[in-house]
Order: sequence, then C-alpha cells, then structure tokens
Amino acid sequence: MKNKTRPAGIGTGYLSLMMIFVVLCLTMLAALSFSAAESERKYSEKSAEYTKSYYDADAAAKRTFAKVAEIAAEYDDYSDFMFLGELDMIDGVSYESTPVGIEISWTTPINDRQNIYSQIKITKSGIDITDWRTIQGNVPEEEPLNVWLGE
Amino acid sequence: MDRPETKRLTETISSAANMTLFLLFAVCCLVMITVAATAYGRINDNYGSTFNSTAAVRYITNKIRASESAEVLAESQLLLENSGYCTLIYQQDGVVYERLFIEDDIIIAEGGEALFTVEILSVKNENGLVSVSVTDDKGSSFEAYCRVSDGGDGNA
Amino acid sequence: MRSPIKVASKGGRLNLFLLEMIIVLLFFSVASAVILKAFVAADRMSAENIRLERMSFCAQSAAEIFSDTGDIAETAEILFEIDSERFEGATRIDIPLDEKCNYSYLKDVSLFMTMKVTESEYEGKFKAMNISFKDDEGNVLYEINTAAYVPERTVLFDEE
Repeated sequence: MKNKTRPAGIGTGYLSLMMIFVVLCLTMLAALSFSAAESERKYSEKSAEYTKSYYDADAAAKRTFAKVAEIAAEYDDYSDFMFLGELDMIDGVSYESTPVGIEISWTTPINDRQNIYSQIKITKSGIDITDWRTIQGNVPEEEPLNVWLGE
Repeated sequence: MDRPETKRLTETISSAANMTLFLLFAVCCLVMITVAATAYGRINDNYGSTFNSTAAVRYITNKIRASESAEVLAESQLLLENSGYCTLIYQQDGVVYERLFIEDDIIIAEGGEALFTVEILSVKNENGLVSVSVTDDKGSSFEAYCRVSDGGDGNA
Repeated sequence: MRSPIKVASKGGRLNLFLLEMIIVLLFFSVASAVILKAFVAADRMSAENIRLERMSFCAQSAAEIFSDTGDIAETAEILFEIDSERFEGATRIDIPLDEKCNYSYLKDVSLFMTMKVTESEYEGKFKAMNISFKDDEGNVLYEINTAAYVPERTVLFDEE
C-alpha cells in the first residue's frame, strides 16, 4: 500500500493548460490593442485626408478669387459687358449687379458632400469677402434652422 | 541507496522543486498578463483621449469654417453666427457643450448638449485668427488655428 | 540486474514534468515573441497616429496663417515664434520640430517641416505654398497644398 503512494507534486498537463490560457489572454489583449490602434489610424488618416482636401479646395477657390479680382482691377464700371463677359469665362462663377457694384459668388468642391462657398462684393471702394465658408451641397441654406427652444 | 528514508527525501525534494518551478512559471504568467493588460489599457486610453481632443479641435474648427462669423466671448466660449441662428460652444466641468440659439436670444452658457470630454478648452482671437486649443486629462494638448470668414480685409 | 526501463519509470514523474516544462517554455517564448511584436506594432502605430494628428493640425495652422499674411517668414514667426527677419524674402523654410510639432533645435528633433512657395502670380499677390513633413530619413509623412491671395486694398475712386 505504502509503495503505491505517489509523491505530492504537479501532475502533467497543468502547465500546458496554464500556458494555453495565458497565451490566449495575451493574444486577445494584443488583438484588442492592435484593433484600437488600427481604428485610431483610420480616423487619423481620414481627418488628415480631409484637411488636405479642404486646403486643395481652398487654394482653388483663392485662385478663382485672384482671377476675378485681377479682372475687376482693370475696370471701373462693373456693369460693363466686357467685364461681365470675362467673368462668364471663369468656370462656376455667378454674379449679380447691385446699385453700388457687383456681387460675385462661386463654389469649389471639397469632397462629394461639401463645398466651399465664396462670395465677394466689388464696389468702387474695393473688394470685400462677404462669405467664405464650408457648405453642405452647392448652395448655402437660405432658411434658418428650426431651433428647438426646449419647450 | 534504496532505503525508504532516502527515497522519501528524494521525492520530497523533487516535488518541492517541481512546485517551485510551477509557481515561478505561474508568477511569470501573471506578470505577463498584467503587463499586457497595462499596455492595452494605455493604448486604449491614448486612443480615447486623443480621439476626444482631436475630434473637439476638428469639430470646432469645422464649425468656424461653416459659420458666417465667429466671436470669442470668453476663454472657453465661442459664439458662431449664421443667418437666423447662432451656436454657442463652451466648456464646463471638463465637458465641451454646444447650444443653439435663435437670433437676438439671450446667450447663456447653460443647458447645452455634451459633445466631448476635455480638461481644458481655450479659444483665443488673435487678429482674425482663432486659436483653438484643447488639453486632455493627461496633459497633452492639441492646437489649431482657423481664420474667421468675415475678416473684412479682402485677403483670402 | 535492474532494467533501464524500470529506472526510467521510477523517475518518470519528474522527467515528464521537466519535459513538459521545457516544451511549454519553448512554445511560450515563441508565442510571447509574436505577441510582444504585435504590442510593439500597436504602440508604434498609436504614436504615429498622434504624430499624424499633430502634423495635420500644424499644417492647418500654417495654412490659415499663410492665408492671412501671404508670407512664409511671417507664418513661421506666428506659428513657431521664430524671428521672421532670419527668413526675409525666403521662398522655402525648413523647420526642425520635436514629436509634438514644436520648434526645436535640440537633440529631440524628429521631424522637419518644409514650407515652400511653389507659385507666385499677379505680382506676388497670389501665392501657392506646399507644406510637407519629413522624418529623419527624408520620407514625406504628410503634405498639403494651400494658397493665399493678399491684394492691396486699393481704392479705385473716393469712397462713397
């Protein structure tokens, strides 16, 4: 009976089981870390890409502004058909004559959904940027938002 | 050699050694899991705080770009005006809030919708350039400049 | 005479444990190395993401200031507080930055920001600028293009 007693110790298989558990835990944590870093990367890249697109569009809008302003500098009368004819030749530019000068506007696409809407006013006293902002779609919203007043 | 006492002693020493090795391995495993969990926690926290801070800066600068004019009311209060309504962005108790007001309404920095959790929001107007700076709870900050659209200087 | 098999069987318990320990340790070290690599990659990716965010904000700030001033020396002065006289008339400025995109001239330089005027039209009133960020090895990490139109506020006739 005494001969059959086995000494106290660690049986086989416990180590393997423990290792499998630990490796699984570590793998899971590594996968979660990687997944968090990956989603962060996607977000950062999208944001950085948007910034790039925005400034590309902004530069294009400014190029149009420069063209319009340089043409306007050659004229005193902003209802001159030659001046209006030159404006017509610039892509995407629309204008409206006012009693004191002319209002010129154009949109430049940032991406599929957003545009930069630019509007300038040229009068005899100079050029003023009246609007330069990001809009959804092609035309700025005329109607104000229906603001909930909490009632 | 084969005396029962010697055999027992050998077996006891062997078992103790086995147990020690096993315990050593278990402790190592525990340490590794702790280190890995800490690393994961750090990466996840970084992600959370970076996302909150950068998203707040981007959100505010995009709002400025989309508004007709912007006015800095206080260091952590920015009023964005559009035709018919205006938006107040402000920070209170570590949270950035946004609230819409109809034109001519009294502007109060209360009751807004919570947007982001940030420690400090600082908005400054420096000659037509609005500086938006956000600091997270770990002390790292992100800053970006944005031009107010109605600069009125004719520059673009 | 004792059989060698019997001897092995007698000490088999210890041997089996040690054998298992060795196999487990071998497998564990291989697995740990792979997992550690994944952690390091995730950590590096996280740091790179933060750096990309900072570069993007820095580029945005530079572009906005350039839109206002139309001058890269002034842009550098407002953004990094570098004396603009150092770069007067320059069409390209290279600025060493630390990992937080702050101007640095110490050993912690890890990035180089280059602001370069790529185009100048209408007697210098319209300027296009390229802003790029490079690492120590000259690899471009991020870049944007922007422009500024700064006309003189000319009064054509007497103001009404």
